[in-house]
Amino acid sequence: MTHPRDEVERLQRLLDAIEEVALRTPEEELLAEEGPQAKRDEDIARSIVADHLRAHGLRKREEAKRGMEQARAARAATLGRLPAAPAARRALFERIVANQPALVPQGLTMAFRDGKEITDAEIGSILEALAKVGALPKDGE
Amino acid sequence: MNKPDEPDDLGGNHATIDEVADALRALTDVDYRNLMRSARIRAYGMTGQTAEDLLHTAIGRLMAGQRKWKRGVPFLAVIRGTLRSLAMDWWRGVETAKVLPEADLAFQADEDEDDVQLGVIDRAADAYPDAEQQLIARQELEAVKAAFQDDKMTWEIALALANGDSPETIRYAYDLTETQYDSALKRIWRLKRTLSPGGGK
Repeated sequence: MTHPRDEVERLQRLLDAIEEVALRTPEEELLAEEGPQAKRDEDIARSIVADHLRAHGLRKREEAKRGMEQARAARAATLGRLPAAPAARRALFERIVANQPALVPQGLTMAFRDGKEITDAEIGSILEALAKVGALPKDGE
Repeated sequence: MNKPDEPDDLGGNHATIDEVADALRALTDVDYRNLMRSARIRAYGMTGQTAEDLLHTAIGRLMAGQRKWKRGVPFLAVIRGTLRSLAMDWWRGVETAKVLPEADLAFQADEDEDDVQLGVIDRAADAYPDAEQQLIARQELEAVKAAFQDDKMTWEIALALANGDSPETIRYAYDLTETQYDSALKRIWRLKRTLSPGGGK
């Protein structure tokens, strides 16, 4: 341990000593000495901590809100690239099955080729999934 | 909530802000009282600064990630170290504290958290106090000396503690029994009554 280099450091070391004594003194003795101030101090410290936790909660909520908004915007941008009309979506799906069958689950491809009914919802779901991973063919592909 | 540079530290040396928040939520009534005791002790002599100001700033620094909580170091010891560091900054006349990882604090930690002794932060050499603050600090010390002029042994022990000497070294140097040493500690505790409580101005 180095020696204090000036009066400021000497004072802080002295306060270190006093703090150390406080830490070693039984709580009951400190309470007896402090009287009602102990409860007031407890409330002050609790209030300070609560203020910071409240601010932290607000920041987290704002951050989560921003994250949700960004995710929503990203989803909207992704879906914006899909044709809106069911018929156009079905046409796009047919093009994919014909040209890039590996992009579509094998069971669906076979079902489609066997002439089984594939619902608009199923087609929409596949196209959305492909759009999200950037695998959706561009127009004309 | 993590700062941009924090994810790399997840599971690393320092706690995240969320972990700091969790630790704050877990504080007990006794912890709150101890924190204010430490803040009041640190605020001695700080004209215009209250213990509340100090504690508020210390918690704020931790919650902002400006002060790091090294894993394995007791949380209350980190807050106490931050209070001390803030007080040093004030005395040094440093307006904006530099980020000082708590890793820079020297710790001697036993299993019992109460046995943790904070080491001393050696500040940068460019942060010496101005003459007025030196004078205030000197006056505080002089006030303590005057109060204990008839009890030179206690004053010597206080200075030895302030100088960072271990209890064992002090007991050996002054040939004190454990009871005599504890009694001296109690008298040192009463030293705080001779110091200005901070605030005011």
